[in-house]
Amino acid sequence: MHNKKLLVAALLLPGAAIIAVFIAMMASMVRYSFSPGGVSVIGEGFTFDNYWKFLSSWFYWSYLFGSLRISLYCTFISAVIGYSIAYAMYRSGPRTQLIFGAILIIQLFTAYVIRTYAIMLLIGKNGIINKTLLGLNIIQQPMRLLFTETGVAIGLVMVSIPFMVFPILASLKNISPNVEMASASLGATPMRIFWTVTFSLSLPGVAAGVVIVYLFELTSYIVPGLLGGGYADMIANFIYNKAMRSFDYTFASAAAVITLVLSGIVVLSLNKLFDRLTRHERA
Amino acid sequence: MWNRRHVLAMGASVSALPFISSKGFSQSPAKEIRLLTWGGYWQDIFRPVAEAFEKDSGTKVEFVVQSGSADGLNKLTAQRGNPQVDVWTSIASTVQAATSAGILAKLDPEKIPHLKEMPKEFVSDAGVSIWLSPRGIFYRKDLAPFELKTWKDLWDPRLKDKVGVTLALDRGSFLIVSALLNGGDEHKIDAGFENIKKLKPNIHTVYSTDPESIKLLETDEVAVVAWGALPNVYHHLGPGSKYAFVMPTPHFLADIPVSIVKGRGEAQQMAAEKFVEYMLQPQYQTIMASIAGTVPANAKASIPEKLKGIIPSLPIADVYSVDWAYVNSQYSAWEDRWAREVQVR
Repeated sequence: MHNKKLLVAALLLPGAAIIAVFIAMMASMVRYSFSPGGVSVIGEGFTFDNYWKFLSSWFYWSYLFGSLRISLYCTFISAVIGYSIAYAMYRSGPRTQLIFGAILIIQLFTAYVIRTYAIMLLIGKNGIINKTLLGLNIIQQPMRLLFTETGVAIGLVMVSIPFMVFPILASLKNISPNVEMASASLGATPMRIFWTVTFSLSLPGVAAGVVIVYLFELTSYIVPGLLGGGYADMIANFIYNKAMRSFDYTFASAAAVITLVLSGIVVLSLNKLFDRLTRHERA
Repeated sequence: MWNRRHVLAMGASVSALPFISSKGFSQSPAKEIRLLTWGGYWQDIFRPVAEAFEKDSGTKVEFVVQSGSADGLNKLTAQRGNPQVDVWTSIASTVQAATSAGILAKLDPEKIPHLKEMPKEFVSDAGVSIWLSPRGIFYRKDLAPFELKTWKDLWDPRLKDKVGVTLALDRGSFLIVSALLNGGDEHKIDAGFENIKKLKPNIHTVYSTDPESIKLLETDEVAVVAWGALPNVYHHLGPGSKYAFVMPTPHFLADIPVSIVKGRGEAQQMAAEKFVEYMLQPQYQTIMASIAGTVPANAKASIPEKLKGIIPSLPIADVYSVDWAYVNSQYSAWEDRWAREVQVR
């Protein structure tokens, strides 16, 4: 019994160390956010000035609301595309599943910056999309996709698809084929089986995918930085610019704490929503 | 036979050893120093100096990479309690911020004798310029509809949607140029914002780093980069090149200072001072300038031949000197205003 407790403690130790470092980082950030600041200065003392400066300015709020808005519709698009891919993989044979899975995993493990650069080449003025559309005479001059919010949205959806597909696929694979067969034998149409049985039972996977992707997109820095060209900066870009370019560490810390709190609220709300939606499954 | 008194005396002697070694004898320079500088080919600029220094002094120079001078300042700020680098190369604006924050050591002319022969404008309390880096317009000759010669050419309607501009690079310097062209300066920045707003039809995008600006040109996204650093584009220039660099008046020459980081201990500081002294010697100034495409800060150093065809004859007249202390105090507000007024379509 004593040995078992020791083993559990030893197994928990690495995780506890990581959590401790994370807590220390967060504690530093919170402390800085209440410190008086200046250019490259973290002063002594306690102040609410940084929070007041952020919360009293509609301009700063616009970065938060803009990020929430972009992440919201990009998560919805990612969920639709991700579900379609996961469902196609679920219904296909092992060979197709393997090929799709490999493509997604390769994308997942390719450096984030490289993937974003590849998207730049795709949607740029002389990218494949514009060249194809120009070649087919569909457009007369290149469309502006790069350095716009549309470009950022394309990028966010493309890089976050694997995070959506895998939880949904795992959820779909947990559904017993007998349930669908039972529904069919009771006269349900394929569409009804999909909505009332398959989709309904795969909601936990959708919930996991939505939470992961939403947070991933809300805090995205590289995609809006490279594909937005400053025209679609999100909250992470704003925080980076304040800390790393303006050297205003205390104000950047306050903005980061506000974003963290808001992200927490969003995750809790999403969890509650999906909890309600999947209550019947657990009953 | 050792008694208790002997043991105590021995213990006291051993305890005192570190104090005797650090105070009683003269310190010798450290065997390794760390230079915080830019990555990529920038290290090729410093490598010949570092190798010659190691051969002469026995002190090895290890490179630590910063993605930009702002990144360097952030690293130094984070390491303030326990600095990890000895020497830092950056730009004047970040040296000003680092000096105000008390991160850098004061440069001592007794320990760095070449400081005395450097032009006064290139020496501050905590930084001495190692070279001057010309700033100007960099463009693609095959994409630009005409030959650019002046800053005002950027506002030409023929460049509609063809220009890339920057605020972050060189801390608002292009905004200051825009202000100067409109009767203002860094203290009267409204003139700059007014002028940049007039440039908006020509602005295709905004970049933040040198590599970004070059990539924009290489992928045909823009024809003109409104603010480029000659060292970054130096290797693209030459006969038959599709690229051109023009350095209009008022001239902007970013002086690139080298500084010594405070708090690394006597041996490290001594080696760092010797390395800075080495970098200021005319022969190494010329070597670095030839590789980098820059103007040596030491007037006794000869000017690289290739530069003579690109920049105005030396010494360069009409060079604008920026009040970096003021810019640093205003930059965060400029950044917000830029996002509100310039980076919106």
